Amino acid sequence: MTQAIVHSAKITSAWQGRQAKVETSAIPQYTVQLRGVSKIYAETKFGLTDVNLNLRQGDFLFVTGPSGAGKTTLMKLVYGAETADQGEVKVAGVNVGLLKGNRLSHLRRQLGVVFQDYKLIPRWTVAENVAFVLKSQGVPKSEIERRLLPTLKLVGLHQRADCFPSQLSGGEQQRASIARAIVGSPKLLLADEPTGNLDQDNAYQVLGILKNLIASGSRL
Amino acid sequence: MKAQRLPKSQGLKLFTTNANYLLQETLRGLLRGGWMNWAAISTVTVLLFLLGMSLQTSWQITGLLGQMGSRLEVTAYLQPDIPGQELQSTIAQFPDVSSVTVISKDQAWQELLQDLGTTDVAGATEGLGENPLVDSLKVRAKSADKVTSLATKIARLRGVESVQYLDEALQQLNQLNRWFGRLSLGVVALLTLTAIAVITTTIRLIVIARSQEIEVMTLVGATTTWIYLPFILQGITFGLAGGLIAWGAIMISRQILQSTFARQASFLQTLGQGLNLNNWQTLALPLILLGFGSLVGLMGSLFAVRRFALK
Repeated sequence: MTQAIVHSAKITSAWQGRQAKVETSAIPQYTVQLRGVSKIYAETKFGLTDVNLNLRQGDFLFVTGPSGAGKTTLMKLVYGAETADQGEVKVAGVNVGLLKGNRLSHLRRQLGVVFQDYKLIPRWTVAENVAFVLKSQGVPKSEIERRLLPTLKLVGLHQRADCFPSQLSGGEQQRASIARAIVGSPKLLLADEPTGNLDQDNAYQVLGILKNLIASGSRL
Repeated sequence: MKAQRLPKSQGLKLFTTNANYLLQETLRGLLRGGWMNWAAISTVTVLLFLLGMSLQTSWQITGLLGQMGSRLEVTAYLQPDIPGQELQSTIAQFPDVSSVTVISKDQAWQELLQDLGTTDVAGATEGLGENPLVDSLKVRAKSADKVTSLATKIARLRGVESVQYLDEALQQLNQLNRWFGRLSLGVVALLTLTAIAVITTTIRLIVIARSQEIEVMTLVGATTTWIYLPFILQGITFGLAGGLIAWGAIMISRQILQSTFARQASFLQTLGQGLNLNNWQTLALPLILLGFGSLVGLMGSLFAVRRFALK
């Protein structure tokens, strides 16, 4: 329990400067706000304690900490895979903890998530994995085709579009996962340890892609 | 996050895309189901075959009863010197009576002699001294199950000597029909539960096999309906496929039975003709089978996805 508090305190303190900056700026277009958020897992006693955070569109935030510090939990709270024990998580002014069913689905369409374990479907090609996001949101085929190639080009996988995940290196799988997260032009991109399983070269490559995405200005 | 109204052309495009997606996903699910599909479809087929056969048999027995009923009218023999016209109007007023025909004793005598091959009616009557027959009434009931009660009622009337009708055969057929109906209902109910259970298991296994995809779909913002509707359509497809196969099997069995009867003695030939369904029944049978099959498939798949979808 003590460990969890220490870790989350570190995270909170790392955000303090950002929070101050946000409060002095103009009304944000798309925001993420966490107010007194706590989430403790009963089994492990690890989690987050009293997290406060304020982000606006265009911000690029790194959250660091050891395993069990609550980095993944923080992300899950933002995309509604977990609900806070205390406090509230607001995305674009909407309390995520209160969303259920279709309303939660509609919020998630505005987010792009890069998962720690990639979550690529093994029996589908890279192109199919990326297109799947749009397909499952009911986007017309012509629009999927229009968006697919530029996205794959952006992450440097356009020539590997027909490969299956097992035929890709770790870095390529991570880039496929990023492509899937950004193909829907999300307003908020969440990446859970995007370089965690990569060697230095691949890690730099992935960070470069993320940096370029932020530079395009449309993402948090 | 407010919903916005789409332009008409865009809405139509979206609908087509959605329908395409749902059909593709349903087909993909069916292809992935393999032998489990067959288990589900065959169970539904057996259920619907039995349901269809019992319905058909019930209709056929009712048809036969109708046929027999028209031949097995209640014949009331009146006491000597009581004219048929005297009781005709009284009996015609009974609620279960469809028609009453008076057969005068002269007419009956003439018919009898004709049946016996005698043409000299006057000679035969003279030989006996007088016409020995009495007036009778052919009373036709509105429905077969009213014949017995009607006959009893007529027998109690003053001036009626006796009544005749094929009570036993009619009652046995009616009883057989009732027992058959009850037995069918029990078997169909039991098989319905089995079919729902098999479909539920089949769909649930497919959902579990696709849990990784479903998890990703959930996380990227696919709605519950979007994720689980293909599974429900899959369940309905099982029902429809079972219904079609069962209907085909029933048609074939009917054809075989009719052609077998057609080669038999004349009584059995008549019985074979009784196996024919009327237009309404011919149309209703496949509709009932497909409708009930869809319902069973829908229920099975809803049970299967309910737990996952409500998570």
